[in-house]
Amino acid sequence: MPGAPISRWTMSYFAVSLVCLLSGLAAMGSGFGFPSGDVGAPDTLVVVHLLAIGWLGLLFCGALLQFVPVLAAARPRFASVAAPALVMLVFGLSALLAGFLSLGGRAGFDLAIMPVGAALLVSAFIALAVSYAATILSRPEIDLSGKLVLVGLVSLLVTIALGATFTGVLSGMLSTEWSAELLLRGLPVHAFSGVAGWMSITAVGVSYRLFSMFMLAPESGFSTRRLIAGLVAALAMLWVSPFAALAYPGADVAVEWIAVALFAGALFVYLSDVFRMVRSRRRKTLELNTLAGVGSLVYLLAAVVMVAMHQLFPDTLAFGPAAIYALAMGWLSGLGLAQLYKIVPFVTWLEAYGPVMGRAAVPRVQDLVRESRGRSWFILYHAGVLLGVAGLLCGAELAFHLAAWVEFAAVAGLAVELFHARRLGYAPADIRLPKGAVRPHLLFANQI
Amino acid sequence: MTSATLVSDRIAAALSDVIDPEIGRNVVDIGLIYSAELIAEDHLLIRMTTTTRGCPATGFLVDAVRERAASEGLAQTVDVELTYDPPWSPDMMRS
Repeated sequence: MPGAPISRWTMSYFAVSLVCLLSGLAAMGSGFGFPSGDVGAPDTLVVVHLLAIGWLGLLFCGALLQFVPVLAAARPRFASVAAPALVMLVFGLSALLAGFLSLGGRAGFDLAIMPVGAALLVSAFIALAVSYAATILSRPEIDLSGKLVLVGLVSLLVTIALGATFTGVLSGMLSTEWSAELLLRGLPVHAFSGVAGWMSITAVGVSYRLFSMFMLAPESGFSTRRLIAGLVAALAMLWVSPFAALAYPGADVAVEWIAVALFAGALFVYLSDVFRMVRSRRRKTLELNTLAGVGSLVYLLAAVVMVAMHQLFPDTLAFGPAAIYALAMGWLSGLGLAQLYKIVPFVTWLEAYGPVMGRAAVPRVQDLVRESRGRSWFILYHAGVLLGVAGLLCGAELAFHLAAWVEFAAVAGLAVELFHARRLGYAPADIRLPKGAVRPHLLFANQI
Repeated sequence: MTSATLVSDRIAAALSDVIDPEIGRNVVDIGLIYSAELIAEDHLLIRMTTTTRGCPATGFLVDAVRERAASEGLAQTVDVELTYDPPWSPDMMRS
C-alpha cells in the first residue's frame, strides 16, 4: 500500500509517556526535588529524568516512529526495534530512577543499578536513532524537516553518552581525578544538548511539516541553509565550551555567549518561517492543535531571553531554572500535548475508517474530538505553566507546587479526551462503526 | 458537452463523498484529482495525488477513489494512478 504504514507501537509510547508526565507533575506538586531541594539533588534528578526521558523522550520517540516514514516518504527501516526499545526504555528508566532514589537514601538498591539502567536506555535510544536515520537517509533528497531531525539525533547521542558517563561517576564505578570536573563541566552540556539540541531541534524539524500540513501553507521558501548552519554552529559551540575552559580558563563564558547568540539567531529564522506560514495559510480558521502548537513558541522566545538574562545576571532571579522550565513544560510539552491532540485522533481515524472510506459514510477526524473541552484543558495547562515560571522567578515555592497540580489536572483532562478519541466516543452514533470498520485497540494499532 | 467533460462531471459527483481525513473536504475540491480519462472503451484512468507525499492515508484514498468510481458504474475497469508530478500545493484547492 502506498504511503507510510500506521506505526503499531506509537500509541503504547504515548500512553507510557502520559503516565510519566502525570507522575512527574504529581511529584513536583508534592514538593519532591527542586525548588524545595537542591537543583542537583537526587530527588530533582528523579523528577527531571521522569519528565525528560519518560514523558518527552517517549513522546518524541513514539511520534517519530509514525512521522519519520511520512517525512521521508519511505518505508520505515528496522521498524521491529520499536517494541523491544519501549520495553528497554521503561526498564532502563525505572533502574535509573531507582538508582537516584538510592543515591538520596530513599531506596536501598546497589548504585550499580544506575549504569545498568543507562546501558538499557542507551541501547534503546541508539536502536531507535538508527531506525529513524536509516529511514531518512534512504531517500536521495532530504528535506528541511529530515535534516533537522538528523541534527536532533546527533544531539541525542551526545546527551545519552554524557548521561551514561555520569551514572558511572555517581555510582562510584567510574572514579578518576577528573570525575568532579566532568560532572561540573558536563552537566550543563548534557542538559542543553537534551533540551535545546535533541528535543527542541527535532520539534522544530517536525513542526515545519506539521504546521505546513495543518495550516495548508506552502512548504517552500524556508531559510533552510541559514537555519541548519546556525543550529549546527550553536551545538558545536555548546559542545566545545568545556574544552575551551580547560585550554583557556574563562573562555567557556565567551563560547557560551556565542552559542546563545547562534541559538537566538536560529530561533529568529525559525519564527520568521512560521510567521510566513501563518500569513500564507489557506486554512483561515486554525484548529486547536495548531493554535496551541503555535502558542507554545512564545515560551521558546521567552526561554532564550531568560537564558541571556541568566548569563548577564547570574545572581538575579532564577532565570536559569525558569528558562529550563519554560522550555520543558511550555515549549516542548505544550507543543507535544498540542500535537498529541491531533495525532491520536488522526491515527485512530485511519485505523477505524481508512479501510471503509468510499464504501460507507464515515466521521471526519475532527468528529473524534470535542474541541470546546480540549480548549479548556489547554488554557488551564498554560495558566499552570505561566504560574510555574512566575513561581520560579520569584522564588515562590507554593506557587510552583500549585502550578504543577494545575498542569496535572489539565493533562489528566486531556488524557481523558484522548481516551474518548481512541474509543470513538465522540463520533456520531449512526456512523460510529459502519460495516467493515474495526474499533481500534486503546494502546496499540491494528495491523491493516 | 464532450465525453471528457461528461466523465469529469460524473467523477466529481462520484467522488464528492471521498473526504481527505485531515482537511475534511472531498478530494475533488482539494484538487487531488488531476485527471480522469477513458483510455479505452470502458477503461477509466484517474490520476491523483495526496497533500503530503508519504501520508499514511494515501493507500486508503486511492482505494476509496477506485471503489467509488467503479461502484458508480463510470467504467467497467478503473485504474488509479498516484502521481506527485506536479506536487500538490494549497493553490490547487477550489476556494
